[in-house]
Amino acid sequence: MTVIGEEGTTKLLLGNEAIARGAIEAGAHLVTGYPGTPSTEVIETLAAVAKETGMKVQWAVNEKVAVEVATGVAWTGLRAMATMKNAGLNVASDSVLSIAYSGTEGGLIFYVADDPATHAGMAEQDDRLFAKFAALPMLEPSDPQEAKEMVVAAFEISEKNKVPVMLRSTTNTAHMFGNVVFGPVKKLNRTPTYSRDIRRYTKAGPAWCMEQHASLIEKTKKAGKDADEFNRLELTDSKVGVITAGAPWNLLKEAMIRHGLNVSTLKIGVINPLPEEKIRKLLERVDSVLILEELEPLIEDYVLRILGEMGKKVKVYGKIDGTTSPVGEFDQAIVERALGKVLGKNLTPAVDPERQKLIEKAKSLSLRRPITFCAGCPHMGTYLSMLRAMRKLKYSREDVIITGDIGCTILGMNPPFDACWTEVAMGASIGLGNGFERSGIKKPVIAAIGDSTFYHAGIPALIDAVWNQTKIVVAVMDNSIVAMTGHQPTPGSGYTTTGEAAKAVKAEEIARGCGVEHVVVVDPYDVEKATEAFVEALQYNGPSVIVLRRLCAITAIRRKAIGKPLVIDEEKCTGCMTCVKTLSCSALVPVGKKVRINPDVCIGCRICAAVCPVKAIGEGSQHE
Amino acid sequence: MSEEFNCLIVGVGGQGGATLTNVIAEAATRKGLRGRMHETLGMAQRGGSVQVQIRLGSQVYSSFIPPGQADVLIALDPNEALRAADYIGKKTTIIMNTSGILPVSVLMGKDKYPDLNEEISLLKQLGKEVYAYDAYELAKQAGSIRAMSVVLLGSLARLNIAPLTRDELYQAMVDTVPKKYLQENIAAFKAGEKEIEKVLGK
Repeated sequence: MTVIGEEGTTKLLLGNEAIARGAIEAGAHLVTGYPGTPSTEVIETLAAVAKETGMKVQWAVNEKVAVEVATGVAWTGLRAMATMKNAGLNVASDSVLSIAYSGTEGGLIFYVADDPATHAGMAEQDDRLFAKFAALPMLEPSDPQEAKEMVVAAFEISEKNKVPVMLRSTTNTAHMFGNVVFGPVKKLNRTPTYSRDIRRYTKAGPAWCMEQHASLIEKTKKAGKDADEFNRLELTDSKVGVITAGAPWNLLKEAMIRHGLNVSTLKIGVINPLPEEKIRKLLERVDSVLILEELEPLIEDYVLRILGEMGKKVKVYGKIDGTTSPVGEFDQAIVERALGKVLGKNLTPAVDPERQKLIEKAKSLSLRRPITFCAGCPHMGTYLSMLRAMRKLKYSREDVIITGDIGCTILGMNPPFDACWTEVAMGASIGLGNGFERSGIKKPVIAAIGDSTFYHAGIPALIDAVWNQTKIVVAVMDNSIVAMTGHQPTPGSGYTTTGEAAKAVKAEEIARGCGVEHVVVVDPYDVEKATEAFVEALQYNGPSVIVLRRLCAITAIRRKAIGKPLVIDEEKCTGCMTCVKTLSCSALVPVGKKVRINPDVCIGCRICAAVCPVKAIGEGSQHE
Repeated sequence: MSEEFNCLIVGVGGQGGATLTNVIAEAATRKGLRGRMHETLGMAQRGGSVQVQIRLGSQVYSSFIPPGQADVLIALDPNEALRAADYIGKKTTIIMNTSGILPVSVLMGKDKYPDLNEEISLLKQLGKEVYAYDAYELAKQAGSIRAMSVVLLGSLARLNIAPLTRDELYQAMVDTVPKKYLQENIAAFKAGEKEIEKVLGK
């Protein structure tokens, strides 16, 4: 939904859209980041309205670059924000920790979206701990309206205290729609200025570093006080208190309404520094306290520390006593169970065992839908060719290690290809592959990596392969788009984030520039040539790169750059199901004993035509 | 009308769940209804399951529908309705398209798609009412299978169980769907209404 609108307008916005609106209201000059669920929509939303707002909105090549670019802007006195998912903060962390010491001039926000329950894969890391580690202030909203308010406030607080502010959400908040009331849009029209000040902007010398560290601690403390309005304490006469933050606040609120509970509550909006005074006030009032927080016991540890200082005995319910788990996200049932435990009541709705049996039966009948390649996905051609080349060279499936990477390319680990062996982190397919080779294991290694992943973090590992003359095949599966996160342009796409023409950075040129001598570019739709490329590369004695270039099928459909649907000649089709079993393409539909192509889904990639043993698949005109 | 209205939409990526969500969200926003909503569709384009939870009401805070508390389950695919069984309660009205999308395991001959009769009988025991019909076929007759989800929307509107009137949903649909597909969507909406009228005998 568009985030342009008059002050006072109410719209149903996604948490991330509300954050985008906040950046507009605060007059941010630039917002940059790397796509990653559940953070992606902030930049998507801002890119869609960049012409109207005049804001610079840019996908960065990775999160570290995003943080650096945003910081460069903020150090000239303008406002900027960098966005990333949890794993992205790991990539950016080297720069974030150092930038924290220097602080900022213009308002600077680092937005990170965590993912309890790993809806989008990767570790369930709790980045609230990162704020403590980096000594940076951190805010966390519970809903879209608050997310927007926090962005506006965070820019002010960052600027006032000259410190970057972290904003953290979780999937539930980032991907929750809620009513958001638009506020006024600030027009800042600032002139960028920047003067040399090496005492602040370099780390040369322990004295300066420690001075910066001490100043950071002070700034963060003050920033916390300035944001205290986001810590909401509601004391009642109950001897039970609940402390919570982020998405679980909504579940608590509902449970309190549903069961008419009268407990004291502290809803924490400032994760770092935690609001000591308000926590003390609540603890003074109660005999037992429930800490409702997802993932790590961050608030709970702090509460225990304060109780130690107070010398008061309060029973603490949380992670440590097993009331809630450090794994996964909360739902109504978890919160009701936890509240019930503290209150000594059963708040969990009664379950009819007969009914439960029926529910279990229904669920057991439902089939899983493992995610697969889209119809016409070029990666199908890549994995098909890779596996064919292995067969040609008489390798079994166990003979060749295929390291996978992040993004759609990893779908090669699922049936029907069952190709990839590993998935670690952005770019790790190459570094890990180098390691396998250096172990001396008698298995060739293929690294399967997408183009955006390659630009993001694959290049240093490729240089490592060249430097150490590692015999590894790097398959750069170049679909010219960040497909998994919703089709953002890559440096190789030839487009900027807002759609203007840009110089395309080509993977083959990078590979050659890194010193790779065996570099081939092929079209993965051309299964024969692609197979040949893998056969040659697997026999090459050194690092080799195959760039498999073909536009993502979804993007091709959107750009109307697709072929005509193919047709299966019913007379020729023997019903052997080889096409279905080899590709599981959603355009191939078994009908009776034969297969038909769904013309609404097929984009004419012809990969199945290369698979059919009796050549029954071809263009419609030949068969009609 | 109870204080909150919980609508669960389940299906497979590309079936039009997003259209449905946009229409209901738009109608609710116009009416000034307070709401929370979330969608799980990270992998939607890759044939994965899609789930949208829409909650309307002044006392609604979380975007999660509590177990057994769906007022309406709109299932674009029968297999996905089964997966959502936890949300079905005695008050749940189920509107379901009976023409399913086959998962990879079925295409590869490893699994059998759930039996429709068995499923409907199960859903009838679990929920309040079940309206199940081939919405793909109705959408095709209306002009395009693209409009399948709007057929189910028409049924929801005709049943008059949402805090949004038939006309409010209809108008939001007209204003939300792309103009070039408007005619087929109007026809699909009406086909969905008619399907309910047939059952209700009006």
